[in-house]
Amino acid sequence: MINWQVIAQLVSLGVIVLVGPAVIILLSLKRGNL
Amino acid sequence: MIIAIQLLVLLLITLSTILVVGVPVVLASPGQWEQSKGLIYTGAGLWTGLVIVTSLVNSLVV
Repeated sequence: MINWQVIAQLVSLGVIVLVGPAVIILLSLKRGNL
Repeated sequence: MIIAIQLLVLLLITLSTILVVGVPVVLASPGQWEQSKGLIYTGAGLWTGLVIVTSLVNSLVV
């Protein structure tokens, strides 16, 4: 029996954690005003 | 009706994630704001509408 709720919680946490650094990486790739 | 709320919330979360990444990138990229501000305003308006529609649908169900 797979605990889908915990998997969804971990995926949500992963998205939230990764979204912040994604902004920095995108701006550095686009040579934005960091 | 519950499926409608679930879809609206999923849409809201997806759009929120896109805006959380997109808005600062557009604001801090040189020359990008003038090019993309219409898209940002559309996304912000859509987001506000989604919040209001979701709250209305939610009040009809619960």
